[in-house]
Amino acid sequence: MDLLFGRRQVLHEVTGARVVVTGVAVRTAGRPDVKSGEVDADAEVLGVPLVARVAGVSDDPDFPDDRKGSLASAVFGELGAPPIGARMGIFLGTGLSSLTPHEVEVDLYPWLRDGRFDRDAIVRDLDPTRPAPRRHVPERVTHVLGARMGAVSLETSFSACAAAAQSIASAARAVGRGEVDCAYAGGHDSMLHPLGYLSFAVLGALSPTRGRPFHRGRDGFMIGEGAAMLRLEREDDARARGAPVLATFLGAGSSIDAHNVTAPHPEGRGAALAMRRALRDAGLTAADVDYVNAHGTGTQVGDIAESLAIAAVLGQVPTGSFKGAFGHCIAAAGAVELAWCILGMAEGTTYGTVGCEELDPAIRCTVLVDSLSRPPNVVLSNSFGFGGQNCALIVARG
Amino acid sequence: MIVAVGAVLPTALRVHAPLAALPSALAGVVVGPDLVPWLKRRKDARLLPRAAELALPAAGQALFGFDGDLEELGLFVAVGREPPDEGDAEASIAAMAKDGRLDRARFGDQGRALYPPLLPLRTLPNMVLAHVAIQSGIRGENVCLAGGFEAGVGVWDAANDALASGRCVAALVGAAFSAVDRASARDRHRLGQTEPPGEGAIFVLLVGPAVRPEADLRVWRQRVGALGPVEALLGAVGVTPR
Repeated sequence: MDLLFGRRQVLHEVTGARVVVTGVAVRTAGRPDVKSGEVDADAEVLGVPLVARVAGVSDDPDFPDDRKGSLASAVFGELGAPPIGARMGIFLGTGLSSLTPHEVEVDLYPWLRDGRFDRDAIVRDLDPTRPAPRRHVPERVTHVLGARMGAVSLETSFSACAAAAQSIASAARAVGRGEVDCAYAGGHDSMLHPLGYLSFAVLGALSPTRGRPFHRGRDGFMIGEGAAMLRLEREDDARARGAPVLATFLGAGSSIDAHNVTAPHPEGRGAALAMRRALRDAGLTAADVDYVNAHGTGTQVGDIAESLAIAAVLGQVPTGSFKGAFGHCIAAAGAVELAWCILGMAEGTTYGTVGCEELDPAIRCTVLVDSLSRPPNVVLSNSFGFGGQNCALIVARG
Repeated sequence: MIVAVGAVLPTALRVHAPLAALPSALAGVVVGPDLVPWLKRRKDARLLPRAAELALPAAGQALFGFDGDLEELGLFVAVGREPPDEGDAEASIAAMAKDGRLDRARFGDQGRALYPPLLPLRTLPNMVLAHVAIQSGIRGENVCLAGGFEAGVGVWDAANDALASGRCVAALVGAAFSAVDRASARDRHRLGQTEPPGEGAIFVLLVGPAVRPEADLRVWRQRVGALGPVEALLGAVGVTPR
């Protein structure tokens, strides 16, 4: 046994153990069936006024000037302790830190001389209390939370907007093959600050109105923030200790577009591959899936490409997107959306697509506009990231 | 089973002029590399962060002669910290300043106008994976993990799991990392990491599950600097420093 970093090395031992979700914690600006969003002065000056901010999350002492870390800490606390004696792993998807105003003002502006930065002076400033380094270490949040819980396995996915979904897939496999007994898996992200807005605005990705997935006049996404974490365990262990089983993880698939660093493949080739692989991994056919949580950002090209892929792989299965409700939570999207799907299963709701008021006729899949008061049984959830990374997760109710 | 290895690594610690203002200018820096053989179009080079410049030849070497289905080839990549902005946004950030504060009006005006639109694409760590995939046509199962040693170990385990469960027919597993720019080197000092920074990339092609070999990397670190996740894969492919 190799105990390097606490990870037990297991080869050729794909156990096939069923993995279940026994806990869900999620923070988004609102529910998937309610329009969230508020005018933000910094976003407004860029012509993209609405952002979806999570209320009631203050700076965590371990994560000063790091809202995504604070969001992660908040959901981590809500999920509570792992089962006693369980070997625990933490698998988190995270996003780009980008410069915050505080960092710019503390770390850069003191060295501004006549409109230019004194780069030598910046490099000579070795003050360890400066904010720059810690925020730019992607795995830091995973490590801090892991230390709080005594985790034996840590993993930080950095796959842009597919990061959290990739983390959940990885965690489920680690639990299934016995590397850990329990995994806290999900993602966290926030870019709700001026330079965060700017980095998306210059790419033309943000909506000047609000995110309206699959809507005829959609014009980009509303930026959101959030965090979610699932507790994953082997089914036998969960049932033995009488834990509530909220959902069963059935499978996952990933792919790469290998096409362009920002634009998706126009026919959704990579997206279709990820969904097919997820079905194969789950041992299901298209007919078994009764709801798709689309990545559905509300961009012109992205929504059409995804709809083509969904129609090609799954046919006309009801499809919704939550990004018109609480915005695009970037690296956390895959986790917060799957979390809301699982909560919908438990509450008896299949969520529709807030913001889609007039369906674009170019969309080829069946868009569920209004929520249904019955739960889906098997959900496939898509997450696609810059760089062309795609991930599809499949879970079943109970 | 490992069937091919590709590596782009420094050969020794040298004085690295851009680090002259730091307490030590020693770093393990790769000269080059020549990217032309590994790019579909020369103009693609302008989008590459440094770690991707190192990853492309390393991945290309490991993949050389592979005649399997690229659609079913897995790609599992470990990366380091976020690459810093190496001055690309300097004009924009300077233009937003007023009395030492970020001025909201200037932010939306001059700041926006001067902000480089491609900057986010250079600072996203998973662009290493993206560029390897785009240049080689790999479309298989994948992960991109961050975090030094644990990322290298993580991608190795993810690839083995994918191979063992039949989710890919072969796997290109690797790591790429660069910390020899001034901002990264400074931040390492701020974090108390005083060993010389390094850079490099290493990829292996697996056609079946393989045990991670172990290697003593202490001597290697003394010779070519800290390589972050690359070190994990150096050990993984049995590169024993002498």
